[in-house]
Amino acid sequence: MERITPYRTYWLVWIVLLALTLSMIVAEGAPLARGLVVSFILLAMLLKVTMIGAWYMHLRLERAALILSVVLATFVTAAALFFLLVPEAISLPQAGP
Amino acid sequence: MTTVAMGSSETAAPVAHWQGGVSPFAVSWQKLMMWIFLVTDALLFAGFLASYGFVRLASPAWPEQNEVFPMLKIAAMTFVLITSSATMATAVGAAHRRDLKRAMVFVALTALGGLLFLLAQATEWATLIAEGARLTHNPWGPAPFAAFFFMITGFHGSHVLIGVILLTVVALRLWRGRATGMGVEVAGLYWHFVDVVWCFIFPLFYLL
Amino acid sequence: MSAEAVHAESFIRRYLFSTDHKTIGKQYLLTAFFMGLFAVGWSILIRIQLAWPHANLPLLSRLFPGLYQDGVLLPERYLSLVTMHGTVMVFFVISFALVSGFGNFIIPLHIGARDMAYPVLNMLSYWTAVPACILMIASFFVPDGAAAAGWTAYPPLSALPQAVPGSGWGQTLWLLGMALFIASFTMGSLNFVTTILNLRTKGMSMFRMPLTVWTLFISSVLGILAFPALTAAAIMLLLDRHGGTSFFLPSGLVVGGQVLEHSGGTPLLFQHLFWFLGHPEVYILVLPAIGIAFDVVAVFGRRPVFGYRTSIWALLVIGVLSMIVWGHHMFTSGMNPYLGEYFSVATVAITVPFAVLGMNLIASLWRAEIRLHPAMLFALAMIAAIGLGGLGGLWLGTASSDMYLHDSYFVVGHFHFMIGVVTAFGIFAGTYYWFPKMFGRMIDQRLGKIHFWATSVGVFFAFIAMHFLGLGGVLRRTYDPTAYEYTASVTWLNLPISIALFLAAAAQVVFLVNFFWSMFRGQKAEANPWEAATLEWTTPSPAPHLNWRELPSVFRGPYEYRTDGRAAGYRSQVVPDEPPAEVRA
Ligand code: HEM
Ligand SMILES: [Cu+2]
Repeated sequence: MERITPYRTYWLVWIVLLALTLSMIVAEGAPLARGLVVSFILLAMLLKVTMIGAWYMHLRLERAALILSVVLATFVTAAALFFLLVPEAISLPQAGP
Repeated sequence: MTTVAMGSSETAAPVAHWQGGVSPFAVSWQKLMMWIFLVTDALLFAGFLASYGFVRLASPAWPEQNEVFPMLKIAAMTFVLITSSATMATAVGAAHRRDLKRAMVFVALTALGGLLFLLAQATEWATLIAEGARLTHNPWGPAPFAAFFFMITGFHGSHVLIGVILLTVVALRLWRGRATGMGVEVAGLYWHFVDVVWCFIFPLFYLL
Repeated sequence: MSAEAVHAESFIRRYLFSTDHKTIGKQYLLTAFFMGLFAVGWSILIRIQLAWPHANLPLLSRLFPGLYQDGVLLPERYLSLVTMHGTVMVFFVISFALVSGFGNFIIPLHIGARDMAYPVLNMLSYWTAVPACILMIASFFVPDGAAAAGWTAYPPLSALPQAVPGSGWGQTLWLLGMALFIASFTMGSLNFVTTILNLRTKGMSMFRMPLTVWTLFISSVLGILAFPALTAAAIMLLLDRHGGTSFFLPSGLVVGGQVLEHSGGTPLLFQHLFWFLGHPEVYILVLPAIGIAFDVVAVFGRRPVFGYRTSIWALLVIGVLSMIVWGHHMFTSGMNPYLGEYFSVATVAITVPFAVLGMNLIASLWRAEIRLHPAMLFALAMIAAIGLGGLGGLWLGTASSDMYLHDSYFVVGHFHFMIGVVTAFGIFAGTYYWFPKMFGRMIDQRLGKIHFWATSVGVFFAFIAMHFLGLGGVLRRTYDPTAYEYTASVTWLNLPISIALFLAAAAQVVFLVNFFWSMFRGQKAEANPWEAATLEWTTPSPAPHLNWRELPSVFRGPYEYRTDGRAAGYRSQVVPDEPPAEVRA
């Protein structure tokens, strides 16, 4: 890595990460529509992961090729597994509402 | 067998004296290898979490997590892990500035955070087991609920444990002035990855 | 560091715990042959049972007292035999030889590297694979016999130790062996991908790499992405077996008149996780074979391969698609019909890039001046096998026809063409082609041709015939082929199939004799006996430690043959001057 990140940045990210975590916990108990809560939590989750990847793992400073390969490979594979399993799971006879 | 054959020529030399073209990613092979390892390790957790999603969606009901897990404690564990990631990032930054002393202190702090997390995890397991959670069955809902809990947190916990050991080694090497910036950074990648995995486990397993 | 710094190494360090990629490659290849002896042996026992289902075989009974009783093969042992034959062939023979064997041997030589990126990890990979082999073989010697749930290890059979005899310790050893295999394969893949991306020599751009390296690259990436799902499944299956969990076990299972305690899981999940790996796995195995075929066809046809770049794009498309078609193995599992339709469409779509590869291979032969070396013979026959297997795949990929054909001998015929013939012929083509570089001696051609013809006649007859068995309704994994009246009109084929396969098995004896004889007694090989253009032929045979004195620089693509209009004319990748305009013959 050529460019040096100031220490301050790491701790700013830390504050945001903690705030996001806190907001997730608060949202879980909030009297809102379930769909809204779930979307918010998932969004915050992805945001946290992105921030850790970008700043702490320094993906921000890497080449686009590395970022794309690593991130796409992982997420597309995991998403393929997950989203092709969902229709199967909910169509099983014992599945809940 | 000579020591030359052991250390330099057999293992290090082919790479150290390599005169070849350029990596399309412009990173060292150590870092690239760690990244690829993280991809496959991440997919192992993806396999576990997808299985959990599958069984949960295919179950008639699922326990209300609030009533099972001590949310305050889980939140504190999350806090510890995130903080340890911040200290790790600081250590990597220090190593790149060749400030080995500061790097060592922050690596040690990170390892300490990991230990704290493991401790909390252990007490959480103990509490749940005391309440009747087993691999085979549990008082709250379908049998796989507790099984998934033990398996997923267990696997994550073992990753934390490996990370703590790794970081201890790195800290010792820093102490002796032998660690390289690359070494600290690669260990850091692993540690942040453990945090990333928790970022998925925490909402998907405990919250939603 | 120059290549002449050869040190006095002990035997152990040189041949056993070596970190040299060439030695590790050869170790894998020989281990694959060794495991192949077992796997072929088991298949012979299977074929004897199918050819003469009611015969009394006192000799075999004496030889294998654990498998036979009173001259009759025990039905549960028959299931162990099919299971272990499949598992060992797929993971411990083909994967070892093609991916780990040739991959280790040829990647650094092809891209101009001194060794793999992390040689110690490479050695570790091999020495993790060895205990995996031992566990697999050992499972035949535990009291209840080897695993019997098929190479797919479907639960509940594989999850309940009390289900069938082979579900006891045999299945546990199977799972542990697989876990070690996955660890070993992952270590190898990490090295392959890193090496190919980071250690290419000067001028070796990605689009100047031989297709073998490309196929190995894509196979390794597929392995890295797909194996974790099987790891997860194996861990959950182990927990189901020994921890009492119910990941794959629904409630209400009855074994031996007793209702089991398990509840809440579903065996369907295991099928998904298994095939999430299982389908990419078959491509992991078949792609390197096709890559070797491209290299061999170019060298022995004295033509540049047709459509080098389109082949690479086809490979990439195959790689991506192969991750999202696994459901075609589960059409009859009661899966969601919309999902089934999706998997059907995706599966048929994958035949398009596959056909591109096949057609490019055929087009590479256009106006070729073919030298019928055994390597070339195997590569040519492989093209035929790709076509036949692919045609069968179309029938199976279409959900409606698969409903009838699933679990029949049609499937067995299909996958033996693909995962049996194509991959084995890739191993043979690669062995005949790289033998001089591996051992510094030439392998005998006459014996090689005998090997080729006997093998080809045997396997093509047998596996084509199996398709007809399947169309006639014969189910796979049935102990007694005469059990069903309605298949009586086709089951007579079992005897000729067995005889054809015995012929093919006998041919492998010729191969092994040739291999070991030539290793020590063959004619000494020159650096470039085939007039080939790729990098491995620019260093002496056998390739020295660290491969080259000075690392070569690369100036052109890997397939510049007949550059002066004559069959012998070719330009090595290290020749610096730019080719004149009249390159095309
Ligand atoms: C042209 C592309 C291909 C198509 C459309 C295709 C399609 C299929 C389908 C639908 C099945 C499931 C049949 C059933 O169980 O009912 C199947 C089984 C199988 N295929 Fe293919 N396939 C193709 C290529 C390959 C290749 C290249 C390989 C291996 C190198 C392969 C190896 C296998 C194996 C091992 C099985 C059987 C697994 C088992 O049930 O034990 N196939 N194929
Ligand atoms: Cu398939």
